[in-house]
Amino acid sequence: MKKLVKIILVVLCVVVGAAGLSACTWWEKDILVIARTAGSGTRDAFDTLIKNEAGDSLAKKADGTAQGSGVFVKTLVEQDNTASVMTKVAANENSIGYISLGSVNETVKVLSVNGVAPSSETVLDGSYALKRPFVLATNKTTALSDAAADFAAYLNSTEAQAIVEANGYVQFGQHVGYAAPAEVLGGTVKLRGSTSVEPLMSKLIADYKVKGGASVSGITFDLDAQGSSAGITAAKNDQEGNVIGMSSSALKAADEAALNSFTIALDAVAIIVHNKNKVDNLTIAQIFGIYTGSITKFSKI
Amino acid sequence: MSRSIIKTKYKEKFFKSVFAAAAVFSILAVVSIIVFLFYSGFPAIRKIGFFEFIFNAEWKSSSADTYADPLFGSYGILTMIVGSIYASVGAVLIGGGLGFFTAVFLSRFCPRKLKKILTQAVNLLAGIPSVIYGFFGMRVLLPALGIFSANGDGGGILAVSIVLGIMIMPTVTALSKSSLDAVDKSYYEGSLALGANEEQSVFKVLVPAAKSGIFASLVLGTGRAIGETMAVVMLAGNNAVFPEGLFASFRTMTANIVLEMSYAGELQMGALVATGVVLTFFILVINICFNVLKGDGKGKKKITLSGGKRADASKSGEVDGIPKNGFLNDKTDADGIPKNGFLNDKTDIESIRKNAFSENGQGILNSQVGVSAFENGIKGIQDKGFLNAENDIENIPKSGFLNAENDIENIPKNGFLNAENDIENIPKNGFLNAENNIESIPKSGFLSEKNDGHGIQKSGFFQSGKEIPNTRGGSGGGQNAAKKPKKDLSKIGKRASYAAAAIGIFSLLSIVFFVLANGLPYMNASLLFGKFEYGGDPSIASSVVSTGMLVLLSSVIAFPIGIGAAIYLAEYTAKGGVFVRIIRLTVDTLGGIPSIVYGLFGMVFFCDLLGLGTSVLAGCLTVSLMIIPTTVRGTEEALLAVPDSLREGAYALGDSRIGTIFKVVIPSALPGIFAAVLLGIGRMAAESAPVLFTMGASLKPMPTGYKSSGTTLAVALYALSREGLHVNEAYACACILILIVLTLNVISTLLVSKLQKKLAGITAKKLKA
Repeated sequence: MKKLVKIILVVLCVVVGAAGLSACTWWEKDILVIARTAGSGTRDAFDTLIKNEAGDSLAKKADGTAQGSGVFVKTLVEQDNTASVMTKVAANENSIGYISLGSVNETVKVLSVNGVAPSSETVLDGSYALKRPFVLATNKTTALSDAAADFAAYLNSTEAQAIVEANGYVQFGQHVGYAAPAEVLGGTVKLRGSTSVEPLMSKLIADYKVKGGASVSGITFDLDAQGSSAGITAAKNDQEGNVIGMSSSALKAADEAALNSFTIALDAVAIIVHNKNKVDNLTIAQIFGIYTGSITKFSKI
Repeated sequence: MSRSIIKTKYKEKFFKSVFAAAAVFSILAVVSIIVFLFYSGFPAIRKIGFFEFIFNAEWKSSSADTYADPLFGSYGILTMIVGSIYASVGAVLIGGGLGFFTAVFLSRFCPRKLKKILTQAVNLLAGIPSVIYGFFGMRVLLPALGIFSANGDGGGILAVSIVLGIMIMPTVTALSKSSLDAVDKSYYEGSLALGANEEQSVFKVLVPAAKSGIFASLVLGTGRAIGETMAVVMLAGNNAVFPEGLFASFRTMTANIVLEMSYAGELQMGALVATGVVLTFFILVINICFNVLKGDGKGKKKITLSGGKRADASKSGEVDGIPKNGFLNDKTDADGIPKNGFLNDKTDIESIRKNAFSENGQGILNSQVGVSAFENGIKGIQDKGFLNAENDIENIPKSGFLNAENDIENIPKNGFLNAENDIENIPKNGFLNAENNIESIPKSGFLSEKNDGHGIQKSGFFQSGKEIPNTRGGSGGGQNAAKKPKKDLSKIGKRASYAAAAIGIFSLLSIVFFVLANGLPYMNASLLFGKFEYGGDPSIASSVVSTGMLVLLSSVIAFPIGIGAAIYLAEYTAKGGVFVRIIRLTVDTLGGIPSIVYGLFGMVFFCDLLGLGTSVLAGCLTVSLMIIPTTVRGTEEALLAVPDSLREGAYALGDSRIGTIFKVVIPSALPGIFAAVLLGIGRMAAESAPVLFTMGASLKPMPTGYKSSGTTLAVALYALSREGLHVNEAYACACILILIVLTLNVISTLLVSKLQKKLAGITAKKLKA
């Protein structure tokens, strides 16, 4: 009996101690650094744009050689889609992450970068530094099916741009109007790629069904977002002419040569933190420091 | 020959070849998977360089890499090999410990009425899908562990080890329990008879006897832990660096494959397949260790997953060299040892009488005194007692031992005296050591100098020094060095068993309760039956339909092949023949391949090479391959449980072999076969890694046929939980999934016990629950 009492007391002490520790404010937690996984276009854009004073970015050194994977802070946590970055940031008071501005909701707080808050205007006039294009791509050699071609025509239209604007992204490029097709189309259209583009694409699909009316009601859409690279790979491997790849960063030179592509919108990469975080603004160099581990606490900012 | 006989002959030949073909298929499947993995992975390894691939710690893949041009990225998987090893070691420490102690509890300490239900409860843990473990870990474990970590994120080695440990616990428990149950009852009873109490007998006799089976279970658990994918991906952080510390973000080989599979370019895909090859290699090595440890065929104890139905003790009754009825040292031949004799290493044992003890240099037997002297010495010794060198035996009272002072009036009927003549402490059945410490005196034994009870076995007393233990009585304490008695750990072991079983049951209950409590309130009509719209609220109706389609086609493919192969193995082959061993080896290998490697194979072979694309059909083919081994094993056990007397009776009545199989064997084994089928269906619904990239990875509208893509419930849960946006829907999805899987598992267990009851009535053998 005595032994049991002893054990219970010890366990109780440990639990109380732990609870107490967690409530203590003097012991500040390290910054929880959240990034996207390697196939993400957002990560691609982020790594290229975030530079330190010397001109090294997270992707390449100033002299053009690639950075090793050891450049990042060891405790980096990778998430493979936009929504999970937001969830994690919303759940941890000392966290930081980056997502598409268009996906931000009230569960997280958006920081200004170099004194500029992200919005459609600041992206358009260039004052917000972290921006990237949403690129849609199709296979060059395989001819698009009728359904895919019609949907691509819609995506390239002014109607689509209206949806882009309405959802908080920045319009891009010159477009023409879209007219519903005369004959009834059928088949599957596959959309693959970026999780940042996915919310916008969902809205575009819904609008397309309205604008296209009865002629397009027979088309089945298959939207599967695994990251920008997945979309580019799918478009490159497309044999049936029904894949539209979505990328949330500019295509690499080799991919651009292999695919037909156009930019549908511009989007800001928003730096997000927990709602309770006192920090409002970060410089790009500070962001570099956080992601490489040289800055470990928000109080040091 | 009459026509019916000819017809039967052809029927026999036909069915035999059908079953044989099914069995051969499993060989083909393994061969083709391995060949394909090498074929796809080898060029990548060649391009990257073998040592570069295995020993480089830098993994920075690039989807633009091809076989032709110089590489952009680096492909070294060392960090991930280390990550997998760390995760498995952690899992085995936690899961192996929990599993072993739970097995001891279930085998020995569990009250009879609770035994069946608790065993089933632990087995249910094995049926819970990996994504639900991951989901539970994400929502409950990570916040709890985050309190202790530097940056508030609870993920990392500790979280993964805990969850993986609970996942492998049922495997370790089932196999350890099976080994413990297979140990001959007489060991336990003999230990009790010699005076040890329950927990001592368990931990000092049973467990060492079952140790090879227990090690085998740990090895099997390790194999499962290394192959685990979904839960790891959700909890590990996935940074491809060497893990440092309990909360370090790390990446395993399995996680690497899943994370990059969806977008991998040409060379990158080859590198991922090569990672799968390395992973499979690890698991094959582990499986070989497992097979070696659990023993094979002839004469040794055989332990199976089913609970020892096929356990046969060896013919000579040999147990670690000690014959059943004798005492042994390493110089004496066991056969000569009479049932009740003690030995020192110089004396011949025929002369040891029933009630004689000896100590070094003194007493009845010593190395100098020959047998005849011994005989002389003991002629006078009646049942009454032991002698010391000084004392005459007439003084020894019937019940006691003498001390050097020959003080025998104080000697209680059943005790020994210590030098201080302190007899109040002497327990009825014990000996005192020099410190008069009797807590450590086992009920049944004599103490050695070292007070080491470990060497005491059912059939003899010996210690590591091969000396006959020093008995207290009469030696005056001269020989016994003052050694501190060893604490009896058995009691702690017993408490650990209760605790482990409680933790296991608690984990099961908390996971099930957590999912149900959070999910049931959200199981509304729009979620379950609503039409899927892009940009709208998620509906999982399409996932339910996709899961149904998957289960239907996979069952049609997998179960006939699996059952056919099992029939061939059980009915048509000589036990222990070469062909059987090859088939069994390949079936075991198929069963050991991790599910993510199946997914990889499916994607490369079914989706790309055969051109099926991401479709329900490709998913079905992949899942069928995965289910075949478990079906074969389960069906084979059911068929083997049918006693031969039934078959022989049918033959005696003139039925043909094939007729017997269809009319007698299969109907008798039917509950067991159904159980295996239901378990297979449960697995089909629960697995996500094989279907993730062969069938579809995000929520989709209703599939229009087998060529369209679809998402099963498990994958839908994975997608929803990764997003974190639709938490309630995720819970509801988990709820449905766990209800389906648990129901199937419970029915399966009920069917197996029904089978055992049915057959126990027929045979004389008493089958364990």
